Amino acid sequence: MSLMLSPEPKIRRRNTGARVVVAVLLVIGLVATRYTRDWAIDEHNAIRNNGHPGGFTASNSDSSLSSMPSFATALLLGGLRGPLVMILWTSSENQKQKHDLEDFDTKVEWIRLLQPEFDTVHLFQIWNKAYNISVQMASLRNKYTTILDAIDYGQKVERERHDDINIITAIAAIYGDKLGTSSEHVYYRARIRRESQTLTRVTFPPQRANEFRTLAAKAGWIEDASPISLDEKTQVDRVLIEPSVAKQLVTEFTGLGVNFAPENRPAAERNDPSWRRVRLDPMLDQNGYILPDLLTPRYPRPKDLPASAPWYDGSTLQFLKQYEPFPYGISTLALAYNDYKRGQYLQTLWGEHHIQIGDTVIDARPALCLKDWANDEWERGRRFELRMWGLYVPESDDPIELEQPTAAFPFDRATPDKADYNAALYSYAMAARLFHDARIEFQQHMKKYEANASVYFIHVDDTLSGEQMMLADHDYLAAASASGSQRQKLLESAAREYRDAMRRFAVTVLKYYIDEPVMIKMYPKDPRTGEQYNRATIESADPSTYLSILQAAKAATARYLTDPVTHRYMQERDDYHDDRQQYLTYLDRCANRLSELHADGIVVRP
Amino acid sequence: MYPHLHNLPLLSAGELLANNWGWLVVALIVIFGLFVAGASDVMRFSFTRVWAISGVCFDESIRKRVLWITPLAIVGAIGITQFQRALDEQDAVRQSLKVCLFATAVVVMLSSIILACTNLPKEIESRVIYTIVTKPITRLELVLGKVIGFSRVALAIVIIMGLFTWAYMRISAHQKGQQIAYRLQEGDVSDTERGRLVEYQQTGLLTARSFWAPDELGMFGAPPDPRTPIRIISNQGDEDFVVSYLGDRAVLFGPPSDNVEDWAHQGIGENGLAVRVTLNTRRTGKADDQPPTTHTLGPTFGPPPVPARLVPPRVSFEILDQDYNDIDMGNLMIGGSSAGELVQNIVAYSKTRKINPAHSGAYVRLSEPAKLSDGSTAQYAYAWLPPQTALALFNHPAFRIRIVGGSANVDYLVGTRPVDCFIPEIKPGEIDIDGPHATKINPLPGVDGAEELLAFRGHLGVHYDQEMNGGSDSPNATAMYSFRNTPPPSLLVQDQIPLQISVQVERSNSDVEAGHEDATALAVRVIDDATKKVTALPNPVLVESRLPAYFSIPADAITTGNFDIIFHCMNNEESIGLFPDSLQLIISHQPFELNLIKSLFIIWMMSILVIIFAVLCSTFLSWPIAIVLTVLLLLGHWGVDQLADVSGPGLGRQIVSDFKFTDPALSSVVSTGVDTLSRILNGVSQVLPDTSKFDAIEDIEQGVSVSAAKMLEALTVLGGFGVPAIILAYLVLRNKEVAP
Repeated sequence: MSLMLSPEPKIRRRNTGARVVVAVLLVIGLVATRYTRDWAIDEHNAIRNNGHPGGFTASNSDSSLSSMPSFATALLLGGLRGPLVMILWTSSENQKQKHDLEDFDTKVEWIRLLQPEFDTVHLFQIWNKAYNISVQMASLRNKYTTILDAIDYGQKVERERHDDINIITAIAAIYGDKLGTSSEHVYYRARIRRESQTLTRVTFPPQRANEFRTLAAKAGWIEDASPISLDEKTQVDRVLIEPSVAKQLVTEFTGLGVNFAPENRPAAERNDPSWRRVRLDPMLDQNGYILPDLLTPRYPRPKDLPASAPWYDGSTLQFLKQYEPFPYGISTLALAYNDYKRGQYLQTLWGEHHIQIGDTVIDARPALCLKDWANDEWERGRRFELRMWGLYVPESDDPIELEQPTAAFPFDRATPDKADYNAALYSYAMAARLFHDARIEFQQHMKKYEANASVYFIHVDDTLSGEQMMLADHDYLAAASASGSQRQKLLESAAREYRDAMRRFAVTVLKYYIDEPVMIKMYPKDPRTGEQYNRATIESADPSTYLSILQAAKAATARYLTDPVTHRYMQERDDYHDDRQQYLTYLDRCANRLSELHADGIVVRP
Repeated sequence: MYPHLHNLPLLSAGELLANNWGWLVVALIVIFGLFVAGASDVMRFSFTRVWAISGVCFDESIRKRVLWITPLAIVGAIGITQFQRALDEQDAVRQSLKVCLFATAVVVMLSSIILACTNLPKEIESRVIYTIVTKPITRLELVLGKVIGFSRVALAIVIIMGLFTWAYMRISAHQKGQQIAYRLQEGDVSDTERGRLVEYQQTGLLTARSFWAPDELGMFGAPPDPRTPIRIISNQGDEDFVVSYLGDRAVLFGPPSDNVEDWAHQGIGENGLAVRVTLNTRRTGKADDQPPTTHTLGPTFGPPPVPARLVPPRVSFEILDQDYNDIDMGNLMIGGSSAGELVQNIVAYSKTRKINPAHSGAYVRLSEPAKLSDGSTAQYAYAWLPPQTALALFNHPAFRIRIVGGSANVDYLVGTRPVDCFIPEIKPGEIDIDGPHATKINPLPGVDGAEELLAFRGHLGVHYDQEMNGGSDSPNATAMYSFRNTPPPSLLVQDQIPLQISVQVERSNSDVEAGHEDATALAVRVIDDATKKVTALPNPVLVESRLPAYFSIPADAITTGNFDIIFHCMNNEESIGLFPDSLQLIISHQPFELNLIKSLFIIWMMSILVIIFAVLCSTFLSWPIAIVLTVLLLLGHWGVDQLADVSGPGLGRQIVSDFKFTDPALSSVVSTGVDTLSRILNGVSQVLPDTSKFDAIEDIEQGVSVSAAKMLEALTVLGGFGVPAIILAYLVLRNKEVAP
């Protein structure tokens, strides 16, 4: 039974005609939108990139909502984009306050998609995730995952807005500050090192597990970091090990059912919209070289450009190629350096400026990061040294504790653990090189920004002393595996380098960490001019006198800071105590090593 | 949050009427509409004709291609789920489910409101209505036919969207299940995550759980010994205990008086309220609460003086209201170590009317241990709430007395009946605090036949949770969840009873060991109430802040439905925030399909209410206005609820203050006007349906079985507002001339 009256045929025809006109107009509008949008983006890029290639283009980007221009998104949402974003912001911030993180990431993702062109939004959210959200997690692993999520967010934005100095330096800050130097950095640094490598999957029959444990431990495998698990289906044991370990094991641990293969992670899950990163993607191949994808230039270097001229080629790890290979993984501080360096080039060569950070800060970051990376290698070298000689390795995040235990060990003391010996050699050599490169970076920055140069004097001095110390430690250890004249040569160079390091540490203390009254009273006069040395001029004194001046200054400081009534040393009034103590610890190590070398007949002029 | 109040007085007939006026209005409308005004139509009522009309509505809607909206909604739902980011696989599935059900609700509501609002006005406008009303069809049958017809359309949409939701979620859950298996196999999981993922793998990502909540949460300074009733609170405010009393005016203020003012000045309003605490203490570390010692000037001879014996620790008193908010802090009370000392302090107070801080209830030193007749000892502390302060209790249905330890490094051993409350007798020259002339006030009885309602609490966290310190900071701090009369769990997995816990973790340490994720660990023990047997779980439960963790207790650890589960945090420099419902016993699993049907049924009930209101509005309004009014009627109650915090009393004064009105007359007008409007708004919202009762998403999204109570709530709102709305629509249409 139908109670509807059927419409008149004429009216229906008229309606159909009107609909066709509207549909045609809509199609024309959409086509026109495409061209006007491309034109607007080209204009925007031309202004933003100062005439340089690249820049963010929707056409380059992933196919996603955020690649749509804002007016198109607004149109799609019926003009409700603004209110929707406001609701999402309020709601996500409320959830954050209440520590309710369910669907929080979805809201942040929608904000990103709806406000793709606002860098301040992205900077806030990267910081928000890395700091505010990660701190709500109790376990280190979950904190780490949340920080990776912040990096993922930044990298997604960067894929859509290539060469954006704001985003690139925000990612660098997460690698450098949050993962590299926060109080939990011991855990984070270890994870990044491990996960940056293409790990090797070893499978073997369960009955050979103990044999594997013994051999792998000798090769540097740490079970806590990569435990053995049983594959329920195939009933074989499986473990993921680092390539440096695999290289040694592959010849020793063989037989039926033993298999070594590079880990291959399925890419399918990445396409799942709800996929969440729980570990870093590998950046290195099995030989420790950066994966080609990460070095493919987007802006190939012009052939007529002089070799010394800087060029930003747009590849992801452009500035780490020079440090290949990385047999023990990439440091998080190296990743920070790479991104800060990209930011520096975008500022210097492309004329981009960070919206929140000054030019001088951006320019100084690569140098500071290189120095931090060098210190990281220094610390790793010490830990390997302790381990190779079978000593306890403290888990403390204070590297000073690591200096003394092996200081007085002879270079030819037996080293049962060759894997750690090789790793220590690598770390010391890399640290020396990084200190050298950091010094060049600092000097270039100080030349560019002379007004702020004094801020970096101490850093330059640290790179000088650090480089000598690392070279000395490297040669001292390397002598153990050398023989004949080569060994002699290495021991002599180690002695020279320890001596130079001592002088540099001593002059650093004299320049920065001696109280003014002590300095006035104790510093000698320049025999050439007759004027007393001060902080600024003490370096021009004869280097062979640095140590004796330091000894005198130390004694004078002790007298100066002794209570005349109680005869107690008043450490609380010693502003430089902690800083000075650090350098004195290094000096002690050098002195111990020199004594060892002296006992072996290696003598250098003081 | 805490045990409910008991023994509230029975409601009077007037109060009963006032509390149920809504139902009375419904009854009146039904009686008038069906049996007075529409008796003749009721007599002629035929369901066949109603069904025929509903069939017309249904067919017409299908012809209008209403169902074509469902593919659009499906595409929209799939599209939105592509932009989601989840904490884990379970979160991803839940978010997808939420989107699908939200899309279902939106599509059903929109189509219902548009169809139902436009139908009658368009039929009247196009005169199609003539063909109906000229037939022997009553207006009641017409209205009901329309409602049923559009409800059938809504049901069709719900079924289509439901089938899509089911299929999409099944596929999604299967994919996520594979991801979980892969992650578990590869070890890409944290220690805290592993247990959760294994649980999801075993039970499925869509399975709904039915929970049983504990009866009580207690926070203690040491694990309770099941063989004694003694419980321990420790230190300075780490834990406290609270005893609850009924605010019965007849008890507290004496027999009622015609003049309320006079009544309030009787009983405790005249003599104040006295409180006596009885407990024992033991020091666990260095005492820092001792009075200063005096030194003798000049040389001393003979052996060095023997150090004085430590004086007893202190406690602090506080009066809370029924919601555990402060009414009177301890510094508004007068304290004493004994009844005699309290009397002296009251006398001193009566002279100056000022409370000496040294004698306040904020820090009262306990008496020396006194021997009791049974050989045990007890220490006492007293506090008195002056009459003018006690007056505040006149307006509270209940009050609570909170006792906090006042000294560091002290365990306070609390037995049964630790607090006694009295109305003292105060006569010139004679004060009886707790003697024969004082009137004793009985506390509220506790659950399960306990003598009093006694709650042990931890210190309050920033999220209003109760915090328990971990590791060596508080080596004995314990949280205890008590389950009483729990039904025997139908769900046993390998002779284990499953539980779920979700806590707030605050950590201040950075005690990091390379290679270790340093997960927060809770040691768990189970106490069987019948046998007093204590069973410790071999492995700690690893928890992450605000994320559920699953563990189980052996079924043979308990013999009845009465048992306690106690937790201790093993990590240093961490605190665990617990809510009374942080721990839940999983009593059964329910298939996703059944839970989905229940959720969809709630959505359908909501759509029926929408249709009824839309039909009602369309009987007297043009369709665009009808749509607006329908939306307003449906969202009115919800909207006022959203403004609840700001639209309460005092809004007028706040606006006057915010806008800095200086003219008193204008201020008064604005203040009164705003308050009146606010009252009207709140009043109107009371006669509008509470659509929040149709919450079809929250439970299923959280993996909780949709309860029968929830469905009944929705059905009640539908019946309570739907039936009178249909009758009103019928009455309006009956008196409306729609055809010549």
